[in-house]
Amino acid sequence: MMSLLTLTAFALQAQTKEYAKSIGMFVSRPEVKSDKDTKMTSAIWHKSNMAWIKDHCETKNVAIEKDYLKLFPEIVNVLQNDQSYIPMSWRLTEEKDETVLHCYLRMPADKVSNLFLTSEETCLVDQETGAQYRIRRTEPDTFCKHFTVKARKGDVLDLKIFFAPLPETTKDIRIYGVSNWGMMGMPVTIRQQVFGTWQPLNYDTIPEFHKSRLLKEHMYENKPYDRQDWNTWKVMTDAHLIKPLQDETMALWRTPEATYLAIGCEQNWTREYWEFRKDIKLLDETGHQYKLREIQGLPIDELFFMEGMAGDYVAYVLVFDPIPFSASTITYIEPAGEPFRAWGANWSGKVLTLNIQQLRDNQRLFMYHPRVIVK
Amino acid sequence: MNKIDDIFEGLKGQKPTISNPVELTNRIMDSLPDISETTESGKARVVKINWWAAVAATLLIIICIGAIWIFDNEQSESQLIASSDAAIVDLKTAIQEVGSQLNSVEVNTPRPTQESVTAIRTQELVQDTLQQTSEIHVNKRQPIQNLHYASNIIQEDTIAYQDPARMDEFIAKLAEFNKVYPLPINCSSDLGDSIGVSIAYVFEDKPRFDLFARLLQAACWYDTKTPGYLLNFSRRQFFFSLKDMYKGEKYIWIMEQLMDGRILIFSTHSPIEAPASLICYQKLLEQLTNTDNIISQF
Repeated sequence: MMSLLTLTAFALQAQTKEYAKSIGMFVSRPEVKSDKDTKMTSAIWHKSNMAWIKDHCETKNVAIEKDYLKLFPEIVNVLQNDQSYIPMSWRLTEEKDETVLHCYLRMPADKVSNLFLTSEETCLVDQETGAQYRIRRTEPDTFCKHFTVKARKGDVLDLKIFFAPLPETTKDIRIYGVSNWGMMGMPVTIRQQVFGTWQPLNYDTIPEFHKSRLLKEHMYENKPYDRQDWNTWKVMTDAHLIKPLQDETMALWRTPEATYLAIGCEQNWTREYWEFRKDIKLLDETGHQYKLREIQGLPIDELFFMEGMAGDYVAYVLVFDPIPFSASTITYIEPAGEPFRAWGANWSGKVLTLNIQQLRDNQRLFMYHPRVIVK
Repeated sequence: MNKIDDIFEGLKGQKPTISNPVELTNRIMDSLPDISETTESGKARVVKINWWAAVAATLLIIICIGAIWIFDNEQSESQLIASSDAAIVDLKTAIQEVGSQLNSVEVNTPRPTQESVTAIRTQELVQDTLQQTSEIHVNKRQPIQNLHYASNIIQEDTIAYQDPARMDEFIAKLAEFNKVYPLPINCSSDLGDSIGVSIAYVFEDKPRFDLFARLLQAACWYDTKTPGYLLNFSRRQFFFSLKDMYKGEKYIWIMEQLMDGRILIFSTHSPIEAPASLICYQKLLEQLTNTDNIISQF
């Protein structure tokens, strides 16, 4: 019994807790030269602004990440392309009571020289407390050195940087001093709730919103819908009312079947016009688009009036394709639309980068709140 | 085939029994009217000729329909086979002739519009291809008209064509509007990528430009199923690539935030088969960030 407990304890300790990961930025593949005699290929990594460090070493026993494609399945698209660029992927984890930043490098040649990973600048900074987690060591040891590495062309190196463990309260950090991976103050949101791959996924339940109803088929004129004529627009009413909040505050619910994005809006007029176009979409950092399926209870791709009371705060719910559970941020894209004639018409579109955890925390702001009138 | 035998039998039945052929000839010649007389008898002769022509045409149609039936059943996959087989070419010609005769009969049949014809035929072609690929043998009884128009089938993509060059146009307009001019690029690598066409702009990183947002909006106009679609972006970098299978070109757009409050937009396109490299982009980046100059000082 004791040995079983010990084994379980060891297994738990050996678990990897994944905080964040990214395919990373793309850099140009350096020119690759081939030795005619040995047929070995070699490349010199790009010049960096760390030229003031003169130390150089040749690394040995560099870990090869064989599960790279499992960690970044979307990278397959990149590898199918013409290989003129290299993704500088990374992954931040907690392993054996240490925070580990894995920097992956797909070898463009059998030998790459002039690489640089870390210096004393390398650190993580907790954005709430300001605590700086300075670099402890690297594996292999390349600290403050340019280095040469040999491996098979196409192998993915796993260059590790170690830091002190992050407390469970840490939510947002910035990573400094890993310039070849584009980290010179790069913001990262920590996913505290994800433990390896065995933990059941923490999805939300489908939110229940009060659905609007059609009040009038046309504002005034019984004619087919005409974008340029507000008289023909539908009039809706009975929106989902919420407590006052900052205009266009959002909340998000993730389910395996769909993603629900609620937008809180201030009603400035008795009848206010809105439009939600079908080409609104969510986009993750790998370019995957999550399409809009519907606006709950409201017309899509059509201007309409919402009738209520000036001073109301209402929520509109957009239903998208499900986003992956691993995503920590998502970009809301509203393309510029066709011009139309109305008071204060705006067709410029918008792009917003959204923090998913923050949006999930906002769910509480979208409880139905009936209108309270005091005369 | 029973019908043909019946016809022959019927013809035999109408043949007169003649014991003395010379007497018959004289009798026929005597009975013929003078050629200068009325045209009534001439009309009767024409009717006789049309009757034989009708019989011959019927025979031809029956033979051709039989041939089509055999052809369809035994050669269902051979409709698109090269026309080197002379027998098939002859058969197709015969079928086309019959098809045109049948078409002339169907004058009052409502016809679909040209668009729907094209769509239907494209769908049929796709279905045929799928069936051939999966080696499913189905007894296809296609309308004869399909063979007639086989060479006119227009290949349609499953997704609408979206010209990648529009991305370049968008960037050029954005630059023009903000009075930003393209940078001269003089660069080549030993990868043989000199046939690529590259253009670069350096914008000031001002919130009013909101370049990342504008380029993301433009990139999201493209369907993710567009050939070569690859979009990757972070706070510092926007990377987008597409392929134009019609023009045989591949495109890459990179926007990168420089550390001095500027933004570099670089676009390049080259033939798909040409070796690709972003060395020029890298060299430009090093020039703009003065990495070259600084390194030489150490």
